[in-house]
Amino acid sequence: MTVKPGFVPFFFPLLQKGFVLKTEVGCSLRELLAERFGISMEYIENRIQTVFLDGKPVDDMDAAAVRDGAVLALSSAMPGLLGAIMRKGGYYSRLRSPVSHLENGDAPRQTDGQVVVKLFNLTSPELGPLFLERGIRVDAEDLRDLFRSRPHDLEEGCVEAAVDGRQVDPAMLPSWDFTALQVYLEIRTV
Amino acid sequence: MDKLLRINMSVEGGPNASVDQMGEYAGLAGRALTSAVVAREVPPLAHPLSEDNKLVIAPGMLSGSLAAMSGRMSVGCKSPLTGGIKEANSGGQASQVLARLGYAAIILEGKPRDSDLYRIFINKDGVNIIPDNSLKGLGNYDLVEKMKREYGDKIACISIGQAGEMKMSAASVAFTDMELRPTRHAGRGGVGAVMGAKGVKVIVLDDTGMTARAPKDPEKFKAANRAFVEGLRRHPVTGEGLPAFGTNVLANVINEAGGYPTHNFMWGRFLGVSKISGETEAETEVARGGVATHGCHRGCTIQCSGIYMDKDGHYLSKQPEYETVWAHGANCGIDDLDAIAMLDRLDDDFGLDTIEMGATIGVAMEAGLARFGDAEAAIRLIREVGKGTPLGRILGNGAAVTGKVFGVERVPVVKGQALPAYDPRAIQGMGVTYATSTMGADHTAGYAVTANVLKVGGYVDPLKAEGQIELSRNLQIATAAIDATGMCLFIAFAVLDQPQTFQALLDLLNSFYGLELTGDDVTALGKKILTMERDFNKRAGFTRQQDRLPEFFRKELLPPHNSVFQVSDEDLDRVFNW
Repeated sequence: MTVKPGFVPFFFPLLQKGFVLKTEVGCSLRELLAERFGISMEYIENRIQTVFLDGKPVDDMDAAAVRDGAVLALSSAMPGLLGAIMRKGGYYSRLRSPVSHLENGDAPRQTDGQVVVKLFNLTSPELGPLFLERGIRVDAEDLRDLFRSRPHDLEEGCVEAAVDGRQVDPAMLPSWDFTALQVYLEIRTV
Repeated sequence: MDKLLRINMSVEGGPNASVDQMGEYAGLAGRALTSAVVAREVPPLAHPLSEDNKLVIAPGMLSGSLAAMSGRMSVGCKSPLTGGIKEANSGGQASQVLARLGYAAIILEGKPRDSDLYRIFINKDGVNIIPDNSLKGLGNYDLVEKMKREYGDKIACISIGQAGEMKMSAASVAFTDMELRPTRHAGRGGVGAVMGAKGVKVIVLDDTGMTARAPKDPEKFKAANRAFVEGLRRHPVTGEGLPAFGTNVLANVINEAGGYPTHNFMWGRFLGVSKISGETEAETEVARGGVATHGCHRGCTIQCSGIYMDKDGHYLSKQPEYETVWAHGANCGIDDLDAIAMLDRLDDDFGLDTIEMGATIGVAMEAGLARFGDAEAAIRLIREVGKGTPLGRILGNGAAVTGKVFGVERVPVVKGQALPAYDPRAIQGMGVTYATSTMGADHTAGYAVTANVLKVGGYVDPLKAEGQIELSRNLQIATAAIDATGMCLFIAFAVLDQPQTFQALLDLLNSFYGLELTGDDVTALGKKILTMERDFNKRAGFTRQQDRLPEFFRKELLPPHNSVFQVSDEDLDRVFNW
């Protein structure tokens, strides 16, 4: 889809639910973010305050290994004691010890695979456009629900759309019958 | 702010107001003052709805000044919900207005000799207590509209809805916000029932003709306030995350951690979380012409609140905050934000604690009164409470009573008060605070994350096994102290990460009062408050057995991490050893 620049946030709800990326796995979490995803070290260190790997808060991003099928969630600084508890390597991380991520398996082999990425709060507007431009796989039903939630905004904000290489009228997207369970979505801006 | 306004509702011939000097309470404010009055003046074995109980409404130390974030109000009494001491606090305009009128607290005492309902009007000229039975049965919204027609729109109201009049244990005390809507509540512990027992429907405050409280050292105060605000704006939580998404920004994160209680604490993850998250809520508000960044009182720079419109773009409620969205949402299996906002509106109107009511509906759903996920049924149940039907009377008395009446074993309460939105099996440290807080299960009791700055109780190595007990203790001490200042607890994030912002807070207090407080003094204040509260509870009959979580948290595995609460009873008993 090609959209007006101001329309990109329309797609952010998909990012908090999670999208699939094909990538090389079997590396550390830091390597995945920095080298595979191209996120700057400064952003990883300072902006991403909380990271979950398979639902477990991570404290050591160099030790945490990303395996095929992993679920990764990124968040900026969170409020409250709970925000402080979930923070990577934070003073209060002790208060969540039973659910913290601990790397105790064998080092995984580097291979092609896929990961699910969830972007929460400020990481969504800050990293979302990057992933949307490169292309993400999302649940077809979620995409259809999104299109149906604001059809008039979609017509206004979407300049061009193509499905499987064929140009389609953006107005038709809310009723489009995606045959697969997942849709590969690429967003470009004019 | 150097006098106490005592209003005795028992006096022959009608209620009587008198102004009292601070005396032994000099220097106290907020939670420190409410707990000191209750601990000293209320017989611990008194029935909470009796004439012997007192309702203390106290602004914070810096309320009424130009200090940012200083508009919290504390409400204290013996709680009808827990049977122990209670301090519930709230935002809204009233704290600033009451402080500018010069009162350190309003203390409602006694009980009317008749069944009349009263309104109280306070301005610079004095206090007027008027019997007004036309207010009977009004919800908070209609009540405030009526006061506005009578007194104009430069007022602040402190009121109860139908739940308070019916003396329900989940009843809140409402405070009006900047738009003069009754959206801010001292929710926890049934403080609204105590106000109802005093026969007071509404207290109207008008500070026309009064000015902001003046600091002893205006120049230092101004500089400290500037540094304090800069610190808040610089911090990513208080300067970006909270203003953008509100407190409900936590939903996705806690859910991902597997600690987001779902279906009456059955699971730690809710499938519909993305439909009710802070991100979705903020986007919905903006798309409908509402506001996603808004303060609850003048002088708020964090602005974690908002205004929620219905599908047609009409005002429905203030932005439901994290605890409310969780309680009426995931805990009841409801993933419809509009339904949750409607439940929030009804709670505010009837004057009910949203956490207690969400937990209660969850227990009712487990009992089979409604299906999990049935939003219409949840709305119907809350309406029963507002109407005061027999079922509504049961529900309005909270989760513990509802669980007992309907034979539910899994009732998430401590000291009779419902647990908030963090499952203690996933986040064990929060469980320690829930279990041992003087207030019953309370997430804010250990909310202020200032302990490593204050070094209260000594620095704790977070890697030590016993760290959870010490951390919970330190957090409870720090929270009690911040509650006394009247500052919003959300300042704590900036104070945690930025020592200069903590210093700016101390400078604000010192320049205002001409003091030389240090971090140690703040710690001492926190300990003093907790000691008073623990002593009251002990005299009210509490033992270590009340400092426990419900049994099912130790027995039932919480998916997805399949953990149970593991902190031993012996460790829980060490929390207040200092």
